[in-house]
Amino acid sequence: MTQTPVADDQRSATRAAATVRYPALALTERNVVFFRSGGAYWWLALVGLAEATAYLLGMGWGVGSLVGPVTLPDGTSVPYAAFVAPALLATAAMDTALAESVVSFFGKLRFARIYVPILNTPLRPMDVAVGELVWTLARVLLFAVSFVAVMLTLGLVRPSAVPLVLPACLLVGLAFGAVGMVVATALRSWQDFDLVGAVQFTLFMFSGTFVPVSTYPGWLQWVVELSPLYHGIELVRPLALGTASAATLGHAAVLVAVAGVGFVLAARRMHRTMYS
Amino acid sequence: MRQVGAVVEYQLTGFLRVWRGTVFGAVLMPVVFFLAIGVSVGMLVDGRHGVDGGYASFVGAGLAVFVGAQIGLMESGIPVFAALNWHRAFIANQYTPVSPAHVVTGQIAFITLRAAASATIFLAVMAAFGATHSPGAVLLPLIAALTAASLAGLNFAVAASARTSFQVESVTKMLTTVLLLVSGVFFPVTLLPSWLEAVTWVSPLWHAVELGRAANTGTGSTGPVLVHVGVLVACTLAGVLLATRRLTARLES
Amino acid sequence: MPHPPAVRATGLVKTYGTSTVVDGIDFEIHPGEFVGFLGPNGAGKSTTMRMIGSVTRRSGGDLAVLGLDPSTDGPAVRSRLGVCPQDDLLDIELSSLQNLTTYARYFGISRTESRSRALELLDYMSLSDRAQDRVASLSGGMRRRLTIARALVNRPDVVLLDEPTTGLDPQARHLVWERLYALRDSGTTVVLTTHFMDEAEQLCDRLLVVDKGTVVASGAPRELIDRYASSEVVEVRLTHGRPAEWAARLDGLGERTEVLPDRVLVYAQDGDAVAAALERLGLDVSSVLVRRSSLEDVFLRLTGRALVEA
Repeated sequence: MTQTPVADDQRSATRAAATVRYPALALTERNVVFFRSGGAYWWLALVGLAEATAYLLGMGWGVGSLVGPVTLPDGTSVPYAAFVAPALLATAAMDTALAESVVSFFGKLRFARIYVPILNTPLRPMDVAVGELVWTLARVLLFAVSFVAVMLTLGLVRPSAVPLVLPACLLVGLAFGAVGMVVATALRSWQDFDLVGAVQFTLFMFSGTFVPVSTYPGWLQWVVELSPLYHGIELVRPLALGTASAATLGHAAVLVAVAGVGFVLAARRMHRTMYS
Repeated sequence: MRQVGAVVEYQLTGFLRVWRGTVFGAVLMPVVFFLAIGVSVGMLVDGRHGVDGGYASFVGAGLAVFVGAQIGLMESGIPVFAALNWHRAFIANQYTPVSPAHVVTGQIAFITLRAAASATIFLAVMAAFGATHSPGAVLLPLIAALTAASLAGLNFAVAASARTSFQVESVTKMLTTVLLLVSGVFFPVTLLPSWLEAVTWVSPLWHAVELGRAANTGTGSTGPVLVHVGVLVACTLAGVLLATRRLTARLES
Repeated sequence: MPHPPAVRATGLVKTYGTSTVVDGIDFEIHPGEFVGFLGPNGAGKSTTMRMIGSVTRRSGGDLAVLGLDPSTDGPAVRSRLGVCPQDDLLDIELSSLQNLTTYARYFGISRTESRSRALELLDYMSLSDRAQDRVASLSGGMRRRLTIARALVNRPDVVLLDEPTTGLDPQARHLVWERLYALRDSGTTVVLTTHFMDEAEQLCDRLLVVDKGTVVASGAPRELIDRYASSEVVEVRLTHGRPAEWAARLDGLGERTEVLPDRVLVYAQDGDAVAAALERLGLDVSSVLVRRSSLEDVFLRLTGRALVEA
């Protein structure tokens, strides 16, 4: 009979196993393994580029040729394409974060049920939440990089702005990733995604994406303040256009707060969902 | 035919059970779309150049049809993948008299119903904002339904062949955005570079948008209208055949 | 005692709302032991396993796993356990090999080490040729072997197997058993739950018979049989009438009788003597079977019910 590989030197093996340094990252790694084996990297890059190009050309350059330059709150005037592009970038960060943290996460939580055996390892529900969030950010970054590459090619962002624009996208991704996980733990069936999609689309349309918020009626301007995407756009746009001010920092703070509250709720809900 | 009816009925039963969530998506999305692009961006556009009949009615007709395209692509993507790989309703169907062809036609019939319903709501909003210009505008839901059908089969085939949900998600998104760009929904295709203008002719959505605008302004002439309808019907048939073939292959694997 | 117990439970309780699933059980499991929880579905076996595995909090009593409290040292406890859940729950998006390597990473095992252990375990479980296949394409028996391999990837001090052969066909079951024998011979501490008495009898050094959330008896399989059942049993079936109607006529033939829906069991030291006496009674007998007592009889004696309901 084959010698079982279990017994040899149990003590030292378990001592090594007891010190897991970053347990959450092992879950992130699992997603990377899945991605690489599915050949999905290429899809990801391709879709990112195609979508970025389509939206930038269609809305920015296409509609832009019907519309004149847009005057910003600080009085500077920019071509419509340059005005819309950063908003589309922020929206892309939101969409990517939600696709991962709502759709994929829900699938793994309720259908593939991959987290159940993982909880038999040293990982805790919070580690699962952190691991998935890190993965979400990786996807957001990958997407944002391809989007920004197209923006650079079309001259819609200055190269010097890129080091600030990309972290801003990550912050948008972090806020929506955390909120998305809270939503995913509350969903009951696939049909609920219609609701999520509708909310997502409404945010896209009414967060000062296509027109300056100052053109909205007064009451609507107040409602828009409630949209995290609005704050994301108001963060990414000034950074991309080089018109950042103290207000930009305020929008970043709102996103940090949304991310923080979202994460605490997500970790708590994960704990309750997994140990119920 | 009875089996196709059963598939539609199955979908409808599921749909009616969760209609609250769906109605939110089906009603709110068109309204939001029209307000944000038609009215809001329209204010910027009309303040400068203006398009014949105003931007709201120009883009309104395009969006009404695009709503159909979006539903056609979305409902034939992940939901089909889920029915094969997650809740496996299509796998269960194998053991009933329902054939793959029935499943495909039933699913697409359901999708066209949804597209027509959403486009009807969109039309109502357009009318409320004075963006309709001829009695022909009532044809918009019908055109949107045909648009949905012309695209759903292709995406169904993709979803039936895909190994991961991510592939489905990507293809659905990519088809939606690329079609949106090359089909003159937001701006006249004459603004596109000439080589891209040629690409628009192979886009079913472009034919649908042309039909939609002709219906809304009441300016359609028989020849082009017949060509546009012909292209959409041909795409629908080709899509159904392709989807059936892929679904059969998937179920037999 | 040279080693502290691997698992020690005192007055362990688990309640869900108003229902008590585990009702104050005590037991100790020593290093190197192969211990089985034997009982019907719903006896509280799986819940006890989940408490040991620190994925369910106990509602009362004390529990120490490898000297640690699972409710405060969960990650440390889990890092030294290997768990094979009842419903495999393999990662359907990954291949067999990837299932093992990614799982090893959750224990902080290095990438190269994860890979070499995974390959070694696939070989050990006779799954090497399916390493690159997705788990969806594996048979039930292969999946169960892969799940056991997954439970061994961190070289655990204690292995928990929840119903390891439930739902498997006899051939697949024997393949799993063969691996479990090897595991027992290697000196690993193993705790398993089962409602198959043959599995309990053949694999386990010691059994804890559980029913309705309590331990009703414990000991080595043979010891339990000697203590709670006579050495032989005579199974009697008559051609006419329900057993409840004629069972009384068999009183006095053996030490004790049990009435089942389709037959009556007569417990005795000498089964053949009972069979001979039965013949003299001149009953309308359709079959008489003399056999050695088994754990099934122990369970019947202790709970008044059959282990696997017919």
